Amino acid sequence: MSLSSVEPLSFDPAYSFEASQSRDHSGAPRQHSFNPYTDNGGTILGITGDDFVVLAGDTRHTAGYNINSRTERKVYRLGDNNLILATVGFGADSKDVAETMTRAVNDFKFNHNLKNMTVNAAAQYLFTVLYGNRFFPKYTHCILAGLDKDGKGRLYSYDSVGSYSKEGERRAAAGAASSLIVPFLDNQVEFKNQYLPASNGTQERPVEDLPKETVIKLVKDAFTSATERHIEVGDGLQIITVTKDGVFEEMTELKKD
Amino acid sequence: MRGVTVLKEEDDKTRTLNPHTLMAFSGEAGDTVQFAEYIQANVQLYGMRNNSKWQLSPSAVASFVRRELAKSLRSRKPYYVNLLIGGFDTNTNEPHLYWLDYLAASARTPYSAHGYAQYYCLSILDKHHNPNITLEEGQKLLRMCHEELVKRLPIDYKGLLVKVIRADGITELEL
Amino acid sequence: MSNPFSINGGAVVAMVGKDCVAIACDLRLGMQALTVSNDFPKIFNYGDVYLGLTGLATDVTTVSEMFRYKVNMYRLREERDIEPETMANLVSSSLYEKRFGPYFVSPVIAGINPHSQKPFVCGFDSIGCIDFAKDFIVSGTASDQLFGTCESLWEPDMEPEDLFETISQAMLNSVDRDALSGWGAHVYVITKDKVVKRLLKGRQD
Repeated sequence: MSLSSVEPLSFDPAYSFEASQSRDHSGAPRQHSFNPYTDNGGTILGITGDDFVVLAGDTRHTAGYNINSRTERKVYRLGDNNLILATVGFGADSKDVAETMTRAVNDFKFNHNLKNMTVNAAAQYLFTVLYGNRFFPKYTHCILAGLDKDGKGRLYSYDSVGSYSKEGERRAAAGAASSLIVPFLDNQVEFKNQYLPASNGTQERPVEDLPKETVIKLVKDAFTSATERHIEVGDGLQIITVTKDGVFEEMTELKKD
Repeated sequence: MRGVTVLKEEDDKTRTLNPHTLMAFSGEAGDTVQFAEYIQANVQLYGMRNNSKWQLSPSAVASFVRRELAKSLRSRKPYYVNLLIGGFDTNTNEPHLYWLDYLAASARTPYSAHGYAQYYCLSILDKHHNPNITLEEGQKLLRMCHEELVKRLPIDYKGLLVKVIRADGITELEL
Repeated sequence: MSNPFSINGGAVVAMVGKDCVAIACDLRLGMQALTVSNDFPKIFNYGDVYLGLTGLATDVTTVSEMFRYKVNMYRLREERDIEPETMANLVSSSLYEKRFGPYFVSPVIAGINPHSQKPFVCGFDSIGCIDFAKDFIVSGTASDQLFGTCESLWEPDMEPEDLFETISQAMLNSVDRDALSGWGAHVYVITKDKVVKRLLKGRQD
């Protein structure tokens, strides 16, 4: 694909201690630098239904062309309630954010007479955590999900410094293969570019909540496709579903090549 | 203009290529006129070699100009010239307008512009142009564009030179 | 944004079906973020072969004209139309000729072989390396998005009507997520005795 693919890709993981271009023998002071971030690949995805929400992520953890792990999960339960968080980007920052959120959710519970934090409160808190690091950002994209007071599925997605929409979203994808998955979700979840057959292309197909079985199918389709075409996605698929009956985790296989 | 100095207030940045084709140009100082007159000479030469009634059609002229510009692009010193080619095809009785940039990307368009005018005028033209526009409506549209440029450009705008290409040839027009 | 492949924008996709192929392109021509034209098709026809070209607009035109010349010369010499497989090798060698100063295009070929009736698609990089695919080929600034939609929507042995719907949905939903592509699309559905060309409206932003 295109000439850019002729240039060799870097094999280095991005985080490094390096002496930059100091090969001159003039005796000038060497300048050292430290890059505190790396991209560990992977992709996450979330879709809401009427009374449930699904978060999924692959379990491959990469650095450059190396695979560090085939079993590293990136969808987390935030304590013993119906809140789940998926994080992708720089693995260390991702885990740190998940840990911070878990502690906050647990603290809230013990400080408020065992009342669980609501999903919108957790969403606002996650913004505070991420924006608190505005000038040394956590290099991670988050998708937070849970059931609200009325038992409806809620989903929030964030950039690395905390931007999110309070209304929440019907679906979200982030990470290495988000550019592959998002247009598919546009089409299959929000029915973009679909029209009612009888209307001769004048009436858009109305958006409706999908049943859980359909959502799970879409998630698996999205990830098998992303695995096929993106080298940083694969190995395993972790799908966590939240319903009124509780939180369920399903692990399935993805291609390991 | 050279730098911030105005050298001439009424510089005609167009060349007549043949009786029904006109080319407007902008770009690097030197390159523009050199390239435009090279094209003009060659299109006129074509007219002389053949019957003077058998001139290159606007689409043929645009195709020729594009090719020359494309050759120049991969030469040691490419011409930095952006062009608009307008013409009236006397065989099909159709008006043509071609947009070409210095990379020799070419597109037939209903209306177009180069430089800052793109940002100020294209949206006006998007809204008010229609395929069956009359000359009077066209003049009105150009006046709107002109007013916008005077209003929004932070320079002492010296005005427009307007030429019309019709079946009976090219004429200058007061806005 | 000085990458020549993403100055003008554009997307092309080709797909194989049951005894049919389809190829589609968007219609945008831009200069960086500014749209200059919304009627700049990127698919060119050479007898039985359809060639899609994305990349630098000037090279899209130059290369399409070069192959018009070469295919016409082939037709005069051989007294027959060029076959898709032959065209693939012609495109490959012509691009490799410019190995160290390439045309900045990513071509896609689609067609049905007039003798074997076999559907054929393939793609190239800018220096002529052929990508023979059994399923689909994508190219252009929306190629990531197209990989995602095509890999999810495509299935083997689709009839022409299904192939049209699939390639159209893959195209429209992909270009809607790419700022440099879109503004409508052309879709060709090619069967052994008929070619149907359709204009898709799509979002005008």
